[in-house]
Order: sequence, then C-alpha cells, then structure tokens
Amino acid sequence: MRGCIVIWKYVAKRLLQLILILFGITLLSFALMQTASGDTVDAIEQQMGSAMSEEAKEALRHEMGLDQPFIVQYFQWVGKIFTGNMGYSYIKNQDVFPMFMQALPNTLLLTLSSIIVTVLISIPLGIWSAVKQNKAVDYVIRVCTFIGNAMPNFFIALLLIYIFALQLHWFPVMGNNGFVSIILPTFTLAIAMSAKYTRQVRATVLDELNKDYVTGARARGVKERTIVWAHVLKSAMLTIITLLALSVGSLLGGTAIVESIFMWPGVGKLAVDAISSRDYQVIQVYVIWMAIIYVGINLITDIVYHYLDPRIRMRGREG
Amino acid sequence: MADTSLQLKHKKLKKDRTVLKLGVFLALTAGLLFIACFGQYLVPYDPYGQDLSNALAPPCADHWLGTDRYGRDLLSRIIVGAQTTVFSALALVVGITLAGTVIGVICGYFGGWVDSLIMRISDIFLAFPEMVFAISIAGVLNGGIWSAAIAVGLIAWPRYARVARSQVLAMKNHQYMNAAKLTGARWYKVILKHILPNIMGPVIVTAALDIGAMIMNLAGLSYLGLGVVPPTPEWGSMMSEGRSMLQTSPWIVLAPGMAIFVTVVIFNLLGDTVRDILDPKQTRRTAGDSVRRMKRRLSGRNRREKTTV
Repeated sequence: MRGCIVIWKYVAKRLLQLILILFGITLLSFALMQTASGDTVDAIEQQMGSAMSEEAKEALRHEMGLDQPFIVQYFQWVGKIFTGNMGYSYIKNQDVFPMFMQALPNTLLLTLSSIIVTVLISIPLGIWSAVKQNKAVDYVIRVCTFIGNAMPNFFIALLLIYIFALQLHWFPVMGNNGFVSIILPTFTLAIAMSAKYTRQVRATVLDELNKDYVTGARARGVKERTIVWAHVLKSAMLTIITLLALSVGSLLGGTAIVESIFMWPGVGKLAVDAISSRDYQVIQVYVIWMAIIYVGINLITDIVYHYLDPRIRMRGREG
Repeated sequence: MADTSLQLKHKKLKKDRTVLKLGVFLALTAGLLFIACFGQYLVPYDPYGQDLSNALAPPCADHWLGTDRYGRDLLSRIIVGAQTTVFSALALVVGITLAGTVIGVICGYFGGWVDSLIMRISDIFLAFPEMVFAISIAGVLNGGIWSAAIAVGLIAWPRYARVARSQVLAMKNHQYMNAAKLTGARWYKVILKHILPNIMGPVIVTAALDIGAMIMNLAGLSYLGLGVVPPTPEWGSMMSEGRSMLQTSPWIVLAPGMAIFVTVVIFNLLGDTVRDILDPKQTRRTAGDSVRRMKRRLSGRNRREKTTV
C-alpha cells in the first residue's frame, strides 16, 4: 500500500510542476504574440478598410482592455481561456477555438496512424538488428536508419509524392479524400520516426541481451528464441513504449510541414497558413495547445512508467 | 583485469581505424566548407542569371543538374546555397553551444536559486514540441535566415545547458576541485582552468551530433517560407519553389534535396566519429545513451542528484 502512496505523492509533485510549466507556456506565448502582433486596433482598422479617428481608436482600446498594463492583460486573457474564449481571428472573421478544434482530430488521426506504422516498422527491425548484431542484416538495417536520419521529412514527403502519386498514381497527391489520402503523410512521418526509433529499440534490446540473466539462461541451455521473445522483449518493452511516447513531441511538430505539403487539414497546416497571413491569434492557440498536449503526454508517460516499473516502485517504498 | 596482448592489439587497431575515419570525414567536411566559402567563384553560371529560353531544362552536359523555372542553373544555385545553409547551421550550433555551456556552468557551479530559476525556465522551453515552437517564433520574427536560426536556437539551448550542468555537478565533488578552491583559486579561475577543459568533451559531442539536425530544421523552416527569402539560393526554399513542378521537372526538387542529404550525412558521420574519439567508454552512444538518459530522467535520479549536491 505504501507503494501506492509514493505514486500519489509523485503525481501530486508532477501536477504542481505542471502548473508552473503551464504558467510559463502561456506567459511566454502571450508575451511573444503581443510584441509580434503590434496594435490589435490598428489591425481591426486595416481589416475594416476605413480610417478611424484617434478618439474612436482610444475608446475601442479602452473597451478591449488594451490600455491596461501587460500583466493585467495577461490575466484577463488567461481568464478568457478558461471560459473557452481563445480569441477572435480578424483575418478569417471567426472564433479561433472552434477553428482549431475542427482541425485537431485530423492531426491526432495522422499522429496516431504514424505511431502505429512506426511501431510496426521499427520494433521488428530493431529486435532483428540487435539479435543479429554485426551480421549483414544488422549492417543493412543500420545503414537504412542512418539514411532515414539524414533526410528531412519534407524531402521524404516529396520523394513519396513523386514516386507513388505522380509516377505510379497509387495515391492522390493531396487533400483529404478518406482513407487513401492519409497513407502518404503517414508514411512520411513514420519513415523519419522509424529511423530514430529502430536505433533506440536496437540499443535497448542490446542492453538487455548483455545482462547476466541472459547469459544465465544461455548457460542453462534455454533456446535463443525463447530468451529473446519471452525474457528480453518482456523487460525491454517498458522502455520501448516509454521512448515511443516521449517521441510524440517531435511528431507533433513534424506534422506541421508534412500537413502543409499534403494539404492535410490539420492544425499544423492551420498554423502555417496563419503565419503567412500574420494571423497571430491562431498561432497563439496552436503553440499553447500543442505544448499542453505534449506536456500532458509526457506527464502521463512518466506516471505510467513509475507505476509499471516494479524497481522504481520498490525503491520508492524503501526510501 | 589487464588486457591480453591480443586484446590490446585489437584495441589499437580499432583506435587507428577511428582516427583514419576522423581524417576522412574531416577532409569531407573541409571540402564542404571550402565550397561554402568560395562557392561564388566556383560556379559555372551566375546563380541569379535568368535564361528563360532555357527554363526547366533537364540535366544535360551544359547544366549538370538542370535548370529551374527561370532558367537558372541548379548546380550553381546549389553551390552558392551551401554558404547559407552550412554557415547558418554552424553559426547556430556554435552560438547555442557557447550560450548553453555558459548557462549550464553557472547553474551547476553556483547552484541555489539561480540554478532553480534557470532550470525552471528551461523546463518551460522544453515543454514546447521543438518544431512547433520554432515555426511560431520564425513566423513571428518575420522570416529571414537569422530569425529562423534564433527560433531553432531558442528551443535548443536547454539541452546544452543541461549537458554542461550535469557534467559540472558530476565533477564538483572531485578532490582536485576542493584542492583548487583550498589553494585560494577564484571562482572564474576554477571554472576556466578546471571545469571547462573537463566538460568540453560531452558538450562538443552533443554539438557535433546536432549539426545535421540543425541543417534539416533550418531547411525545413526555409521550405515553409520562414527562412531564407527568394531569390537567395537556399536548399530548403529551392525545394519549395520546385514543389509545383514536381511532375514535369523533378530535378528541381531532387537536386537540392540530395544536397541536404549528402551534407547531413557528412556532418552526422563526423559527429559519430567525434563521439567515438571523445567518448570511447560508450561507443554506441547515439541510441544507447538516449535510452539511458531517458531511463535516468524517468526514474527521477536527476532530481535526487540535484538535491544531494
């Protein structure tokens, strides 16, 4: 039971840290966008296309609270976030939050499918490569991951488009026409991620293979296959899954470029479009929400890892 | 246990091979830097010179890599583009290495509230997914290669600060540090003479392994139109220009893409070798180390380390 208490203490500590980090994230994004976007009232004036008198502008500023000191504005803005009001895009004449929420499922879908493909590619390859260490297979796999690591994802995307969409006509080039459209962006992200991840899986399995219990099992005459599948994999799995969860962050960022190449209507494309039209409200929402999702995933991973790993649980109990 | 003579011989062979590898990769890097430096004197054509009668020419004897929409020679543009891409990435890595090391050493050496404050700030920067933050900053800063570099740098410094900090913490309790302090050495002297020389290895390894990734990040931002502004030749933005002509003239995209790929490969190979030399204890560090680091982070050993010091 005391193990349980330790976990809860840990969760509480992490939640406290989370609040600090959220405060930092929002403050940083708010300050950044404030300095970047200039005067909102001027932006409105430009959008309306007609000139406003200075008094009218002042009145509008007062009405919107823009004449308040920075920190007051920040807290007002945070208050608005809590009520679900993330600002208004004067470029698209739309509330930002629904716009974002509409695009988010597409990004999450793409992220999820890439993770699945990454797992399907890299875990078998990583294990195979580790088991056949320094054999031909290992070298081939390592060269492939090296090549994958040296290709930027937009290059992979364009290569895939050229080969599979333009030459072979297997897939549509862009847009969202159901299942077929997600395949190329998924593979783009999955190839880049598998290159990193296969190496990590290989290293984890190798680490595990060098442990004493494996030598012991071999000495007892346990079949190599049984050792790998029943013992090594079982104890390596926790690390492998954790690493996967932690690499979601790079995936979330990587989707922005890939989404805009494939015209996939997710939040990344929304943000890239917003940058070219200087729509700072949208960028702000994108940065904050992506950070929150990322921090959330990391937190859950950490807690689950703590909960699942008996070694850490035990240590907590002793201490 | 003493090594047998056979083992020693094997070790020496391995070391010789690593040194040879380092020589080869350094030579390749030097070649790349030479092209980046003197590119504008090597090019067969004017990289900005338009020749519309020759637009979209496929690779041929006159234009080895073909021409783009305005008939500009792609080979010339790629050679000149090396300058922007390679130097901005190198400047970026040098910049964040210096900044990160200074911050990390200050944190590790002085500890206390300065350390806590800076580490919490770095937590905040680490809370953003890398490219999400870089894209936003680059967008806010109005484009240009330097704003892209600042964007990537802002998100990358915490990693360097942490490497430097953990190194300082690890050696803080060594005897010779106490001896240096006891003999009355001032703090800056301790840092300059005793700490910096000892922590530079891991910091340089981190930096060397990062150059390739930085080149790709900067090229990515340029691809999105957040880095170099056309008509300045830069590989990422050249690929984005060729994107609409992928079907008819794939070489416009493929040539700069391969340039990025080859450059990143060279820097990654160099980085791997530098790691093997500076850090012979862990030959397989790329993946193995990140796994170990991750485990350490998750098991909370870092936090304990901080409280005991």
